[in-house]
Amino acid sequence: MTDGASRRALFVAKLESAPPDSLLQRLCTLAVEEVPCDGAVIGLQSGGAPEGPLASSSPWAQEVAAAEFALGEGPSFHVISTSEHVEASNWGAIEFQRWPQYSLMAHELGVAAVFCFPLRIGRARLGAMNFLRAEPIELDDRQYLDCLALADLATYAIVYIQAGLPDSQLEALLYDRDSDRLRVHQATGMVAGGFDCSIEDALARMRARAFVDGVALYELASRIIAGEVGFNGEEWA
Amino acid sequence: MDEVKQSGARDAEFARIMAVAVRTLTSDFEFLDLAHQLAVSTTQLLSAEAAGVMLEDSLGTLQVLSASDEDTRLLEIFELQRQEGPCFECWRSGDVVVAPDIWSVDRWPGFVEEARILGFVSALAVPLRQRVHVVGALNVFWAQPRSVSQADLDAAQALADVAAVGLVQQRLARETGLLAEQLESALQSRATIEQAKGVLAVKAHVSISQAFGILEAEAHASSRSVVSLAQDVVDRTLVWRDGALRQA
Repeated sequence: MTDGASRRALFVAKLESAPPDSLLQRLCTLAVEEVPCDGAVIGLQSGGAPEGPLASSSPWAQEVAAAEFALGEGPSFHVISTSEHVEASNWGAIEFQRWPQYSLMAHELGVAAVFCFPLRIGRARLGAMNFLRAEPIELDDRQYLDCLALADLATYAIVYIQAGLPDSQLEALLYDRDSDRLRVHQATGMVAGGFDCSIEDALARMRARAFVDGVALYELASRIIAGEVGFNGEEWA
Repeated sequence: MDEVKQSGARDAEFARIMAVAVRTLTSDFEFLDLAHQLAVSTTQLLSAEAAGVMLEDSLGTLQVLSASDEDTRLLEIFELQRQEGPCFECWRSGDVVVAPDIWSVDRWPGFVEEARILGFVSALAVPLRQRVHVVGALNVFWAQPRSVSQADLDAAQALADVAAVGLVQQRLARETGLLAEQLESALQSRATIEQAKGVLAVKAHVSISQAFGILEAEAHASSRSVVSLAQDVVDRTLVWRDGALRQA
């Protein structure tokens, strides 16, 4: 098995056997177990800026995220507006100098390193995931991939939430993620074009429609591409 | 073309590819663009019908990154190889996979069925490595039977190695530590391009493939990367109006 495949199998096994909190909650808890971090927190975005924390591994992580949101600056803001990752592995890191208020706050709360990832699918921005450390640390390739994997799972879970669907089943989410993605991305773009909405709204609308129709996302995507499902103003046609 | 001439022409082509690769590495560089160029160069160097690059994502799934042509069916035949096929086998094993006659291989029924429709007869896949880790593969298809020569293998592997160097260079240029970020960013760029195709297909009333043609033409006309344009199209800062892409 490749590294990535075994990582996936491990995460799936642990997420499935965890107590039935929301999937985002379970991802934060798993992050603390599997990645060298002391806290993990996930937040959504709206209008290109983070919202407050949605799920976190601990009150400490929640506090850091809430404080960042209140300050209006920090890694979550950066990753959401640029789609770049943030690696601030110690207090000398340039990122901390970029956000003086955030740095002061983080220092006071005992954060020594932060890794922040945009949660995205192509150009669609869903939010941000922060991994917080109380000690400086440099992530190696393997650990970085672990973070990416967790962030990726969080991204797909958020699509379900935004589609107004019941607490996401991991299996369904993984199925979404795996199947025929080129087609799904294309259809997502078509939905955004057809409804004149954001790509994020398009993702949610497709997910909701697929659920209502009882079909896989790629099946709906195929129908959209074939012109069997179309658009009429605000409504599907 | 006799052996010597062929070898000389190949050397010249390879030197040209290296020059292009080095140029792209020094500027505002998208790995996806390099992968596309390498796929195109592969077809030229090896007189092949099509080529493509697949990369592993963070959850261990093999994803299509770029191909010699943005034709939807071609991209999808690479995507099919997430589960079976020469590219998949190459990535899993880390070994070169040679199939002079894919129709005689019974390990890949689904893949062969689709490959037949596209007229592919022979295939080759070489691993894309970063140090010891195999992060993907470069896949080549011929529309005629090809007994893959050592020269073919060397050329394909050299191109895959250029891709690997590209990844390292991008890391150094951007002072970001990690390979994983480059790979993930490249795959996200692919997703962005696909989303942009969809937006344009609806807005310009064209097919998905034609939508890419619009992006490509605009990239050429405005000297911008396809990825950058795709981002603007999805962001709706570039819109289709009066038969062209314009600022919103």
